[in-house]
Amino acid sequence: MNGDAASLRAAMKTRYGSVATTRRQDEGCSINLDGLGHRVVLRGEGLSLLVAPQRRSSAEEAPDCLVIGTHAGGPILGVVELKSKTASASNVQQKLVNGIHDANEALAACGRTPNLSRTYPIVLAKSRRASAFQVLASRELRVGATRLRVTVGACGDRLTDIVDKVDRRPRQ
Amino acid sequence: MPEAVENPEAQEEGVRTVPRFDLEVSDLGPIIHADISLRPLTVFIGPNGSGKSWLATMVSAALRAGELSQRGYYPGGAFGEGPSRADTWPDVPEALEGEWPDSDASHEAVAHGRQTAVPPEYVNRCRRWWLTTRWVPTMLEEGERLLGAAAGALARRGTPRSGLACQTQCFAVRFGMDEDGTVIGDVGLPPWQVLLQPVTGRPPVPVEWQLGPGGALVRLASQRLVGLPPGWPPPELRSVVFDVCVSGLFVGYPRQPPHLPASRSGLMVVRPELMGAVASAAAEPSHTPAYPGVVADLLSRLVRPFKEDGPFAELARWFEEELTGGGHVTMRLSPAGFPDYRFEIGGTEMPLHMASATVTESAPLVLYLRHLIQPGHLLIIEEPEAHLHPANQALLARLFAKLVRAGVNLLITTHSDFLLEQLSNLILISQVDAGQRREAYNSDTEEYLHASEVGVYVFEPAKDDSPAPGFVTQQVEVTDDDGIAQDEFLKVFEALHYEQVALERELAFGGAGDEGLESR
Repeated sequence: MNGDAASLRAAMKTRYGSVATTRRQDEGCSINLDGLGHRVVLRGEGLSLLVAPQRRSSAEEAPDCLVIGTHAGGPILGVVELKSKTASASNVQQKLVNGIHDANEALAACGRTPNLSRTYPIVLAKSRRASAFQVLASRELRVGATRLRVTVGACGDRLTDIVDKVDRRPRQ
Repeated sequence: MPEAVENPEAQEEGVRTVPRFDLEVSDLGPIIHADISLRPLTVFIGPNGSGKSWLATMVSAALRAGELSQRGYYPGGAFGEGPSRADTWPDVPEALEGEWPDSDASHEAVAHGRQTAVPPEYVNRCRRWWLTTRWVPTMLEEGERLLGAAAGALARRGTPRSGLACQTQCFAVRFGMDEDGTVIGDVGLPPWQVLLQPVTGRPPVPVEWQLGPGGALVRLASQRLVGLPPGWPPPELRSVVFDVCVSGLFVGYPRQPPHLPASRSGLMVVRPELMGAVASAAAEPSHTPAYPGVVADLLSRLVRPFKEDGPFAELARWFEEELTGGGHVTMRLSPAGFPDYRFEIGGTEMPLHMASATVTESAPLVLYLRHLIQPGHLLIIEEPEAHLHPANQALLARLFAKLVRAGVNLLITTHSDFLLEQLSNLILISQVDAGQRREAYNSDTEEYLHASEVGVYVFEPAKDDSPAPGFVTQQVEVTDDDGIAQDEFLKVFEALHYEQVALERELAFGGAGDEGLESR
């Protein structure tokens, strides 16, 4: 499995190295990637322009970052939007859907079959207002025939913790 | 007159403050330690049984003790207001008889019509005596009565005594209390000067004084001070000074109507005669009270007909019309002379128990607003959101903002995220131009709060190894940019949210997949 993960990482870096980044924060909001193995972080806007320039008029409709790595025995895909200010729920919803499509195209181009059961659309928000949280948390994404709920957390949350919580695994 | 002590917090224009009133308690009820400072709007949040009502009640007891400690002592009885008692001075306690330093000098000064200061040692002795001998025991008794606790039963389980410290702009006192009584700790008294100003005139002017946080100026007819037999100062002057010193301890102290406890629910639909009987029973002095004093006080007020409208009658009308769609609480007198509260809407009147829970729940607040509340009051309301639809909980927050703007102080306990959400928006809206506020947000120009006007405290389980569980308070961040931080409620939302996501993924994918992003 590790060998497979390592080869995926290498393939992504080869193909999409131009949009890979070590930065995983935006306007003071960040996601913690500690504990995530073989990870690659891609800029959402950059990947969007590479894989789907025709699909969108504006690269702004992409999430902040896409995180691919291994956790709990297999590869995972985090599609992450970071919000330091007020988030428009519908805008976030569209960005995350676009991000999933872009990531899936990128994975397919690297010879991988996307798997929505290991895909985690996430919004981390700085605001600690209950109403903003509830509005974001109420959003559901449609990806093909599958519905995926957005997971909402706080800036600084760890991706692997989020995955464990929604997959009901004991925290590592 | 001596200069008033400046409020330590810088005052911006239009931003309200309250005179300093801090309360710190330890090992009281479920509370291990709590430390709060009153603001125009003070909010307690936290789990059930964490001590919010205990602390709110002790705030009430501390404030009421200022007034109650003087009741029955002064013939005149008017709290904190000096004049008009010239001929009914109280006896000075024996403990305060004794030397008046530099008596010759002050006698000489007033004999020649010059202003002179009462020796600060004497002023401080009077103030200290009152605080420790009258105020502290009264506060303790009142706390027990309001909570309905047996004497000495306030201490947290497993601890021998409770501790309490109160600091105002006029005094600071720390004491411990157990079933054997109280043990006074530190007493702090900021400099406070009493100036005597002889005044000539015929007929002789009555004694008058002005009080401030920094001291008092007492005007006395010089005819009453000169030509007195030897033995300066005369007993009458000692009485005046004593009275002034005591009244000066409570300058700026908020007054309060009876507070509205969480247990008010249902009281309004009790038949008036029964309500009267319950109120009478509740008022019976006893070491094991039939009802907590907070309930007894509310009942006692409800069984007496409200008469005059107060300055917030219009606001009360607005609130209940918004809340009920145009209805009003009305009152008739029952054959036995007790108030029979009813609800009138669209020309139809009905007994209160026929109205919705919204009406019965809000009726005490509406009646208080209409008849009792005055600017400067501190109104304590426990769980004001009880039985209210979320939209009405938001309305309640708007009412609170209007009251704060009008000079009323509030202390509320709440479990309502809707209330906090609206309060947060009212804080944000304070930064919006008044015209824009009205046009874009449909908001009254007096519906806003500044962050510094709002103090929020969360009661959290203590993270210590104490054998008996308990709670501590933490001050919650309130900022002009973000409003009130709501981690307390978010923790619950987050837990529910993660559970929902997990369940939906479970149902969609049959549990966490171990494979994914496979090689083709």
